Amino acid sequence: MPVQAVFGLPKIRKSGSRELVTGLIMIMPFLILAGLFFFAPLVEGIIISTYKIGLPEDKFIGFDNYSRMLKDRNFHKTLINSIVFGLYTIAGVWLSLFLAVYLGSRIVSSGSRFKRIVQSCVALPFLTSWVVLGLAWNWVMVVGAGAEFAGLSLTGKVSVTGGSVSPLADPNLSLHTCGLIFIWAGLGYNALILLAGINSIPKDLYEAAQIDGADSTATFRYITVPLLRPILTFLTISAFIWPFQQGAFEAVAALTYGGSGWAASNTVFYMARQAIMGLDFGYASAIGITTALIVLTISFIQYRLLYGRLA
Amino acid sequence: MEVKKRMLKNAQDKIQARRNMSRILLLAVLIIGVVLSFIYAYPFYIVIIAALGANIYIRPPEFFPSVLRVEAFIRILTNPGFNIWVINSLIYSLCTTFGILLVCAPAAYALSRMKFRGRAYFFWLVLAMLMFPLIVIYVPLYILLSRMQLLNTYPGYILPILASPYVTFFLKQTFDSIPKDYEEAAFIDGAGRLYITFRIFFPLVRPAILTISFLQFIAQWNNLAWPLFVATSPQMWNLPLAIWNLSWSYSRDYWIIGAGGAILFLLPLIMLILASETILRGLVVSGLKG
Repeated sequence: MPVQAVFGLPKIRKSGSRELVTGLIMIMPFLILAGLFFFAPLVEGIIISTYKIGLPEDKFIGFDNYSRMLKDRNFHKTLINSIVFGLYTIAGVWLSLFLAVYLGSRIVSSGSRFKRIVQSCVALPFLTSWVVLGLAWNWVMVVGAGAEFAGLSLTGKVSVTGGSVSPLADPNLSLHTCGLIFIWAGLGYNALILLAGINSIPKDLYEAAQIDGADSTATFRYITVPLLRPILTFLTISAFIWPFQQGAFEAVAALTYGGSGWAASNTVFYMARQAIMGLDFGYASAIGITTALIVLTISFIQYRLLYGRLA
Repeated sequence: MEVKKRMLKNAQDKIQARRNMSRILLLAVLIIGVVLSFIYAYPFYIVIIAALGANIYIRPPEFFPSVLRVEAFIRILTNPGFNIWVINSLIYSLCTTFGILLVCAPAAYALSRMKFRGRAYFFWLVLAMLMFPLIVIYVPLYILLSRMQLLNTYPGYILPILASPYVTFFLKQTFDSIPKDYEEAAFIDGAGRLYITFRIFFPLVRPAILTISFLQFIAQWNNLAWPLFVATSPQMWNLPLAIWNLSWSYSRDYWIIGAGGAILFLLPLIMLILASETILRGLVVSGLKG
């Protein structure tokens, strides 16, 4: 053993190995925290999804939670709801493309003082908690429902007042009302990103097209959309994944609390209700793991579409 | 001559038509803009007027409060039963933002600037976490935290969300976009690693760090899902969870809820007004949701 190592003196080393030590030290906090609070619960989740958690003791039941899930009507409903939400948010992406092209590029690229204000206003729903958005929309929907039942009809859940039921509480309408609100909430964020993309398209392309006699529809169809393809792909897939994630959980929780008979619930909200209200942690974990697999599959497809290859 | 005149007339007509057309288009854009901004603004407006004392439940609804009352705001900020949630919210958002930076900035620096074995695996790990819907592991995490006796404590709230793949990825991308020339020049001049990092690298990335701090602060200020799992006693609720719980209970004091909601969205709004450039750049550049 070299003397320096024994006495703790600096040893002459290759710079690569010195960077190994500093590098590891720098990523160590992240690794420890991720191990404790991401990988450990992940493994725990996979394990307890094969258990029936409860008193007097947890019972191993194999894949029973999963087969129960496959037969569960409510789970099917929430899965379909999530996909419907995804279609709405995808529609929102394309709507915000038109917004970005026809409204935004006039205001935002003009460089006026107006620009910053418009951008800020447009970003506001995205930066606001879903608790506020849910509260606000519920109030918008039940406005004029009668003061004496203010407390009861606050959320629009109870329709004792004047016969007016909030569309958010109506079992047939709540899903689509939520979908429209999701479009509203994502519009500004999508438009901001698309605007940044549009502004990065070289102006000479548009000039060349104009000289060739292309009208605005043609330039939109043959220049704007193809050149925005990577951003559009990214936003579309993100929009489709969104209903399976935390943001949509909060949105559903705040807007409808799942709706009557899970009418407007997505899978993660169903999972949380199984865990928190039903204390059925095994079943909740099975739903969670399935949701994660769905999201990872779609993300993988996104990666392939965007980069055309793996790694 | 005749032909020339007709051509001229035609061209003038066309220009006139186009002018009319663009005028109509401008009007349409303006109308659509006004309608859209009304739809955009109305939900926020109704929260504020409800907090200020407008009765939103009579028919027709009040669009302005008949008697202006700020009592709800005062109560939520001074009543110890209510203001604990505001204080909790501030503690949670500030601590998690600082903690996330402390944990993720070094990791991102190592990913971007250092060459060591295993770096590629670490990057894959961050990407995998980024794609994973984190809410799914909140259920087993709840069980683990209750076993560690960490439920309903500040460390139990803050520690598990510090390893943020989103922030690490964002910072890594930003660091990558900054040329290494300055650091190399300083290195040739004999500067040490620490000097280069803090005197040369850090000033260059300060705007990006500021951006991500703002975005993280707002994201944590708005967080509902995580406290729902980990803060089960009312003393540990943050403001969103408290407002949410109150709004689903049959509370009559809707102006208090309105005031809470107003505080909840006014803070991000004020930050947006004061630092719109910083925040908007972050939204556009990252292209990712926190």
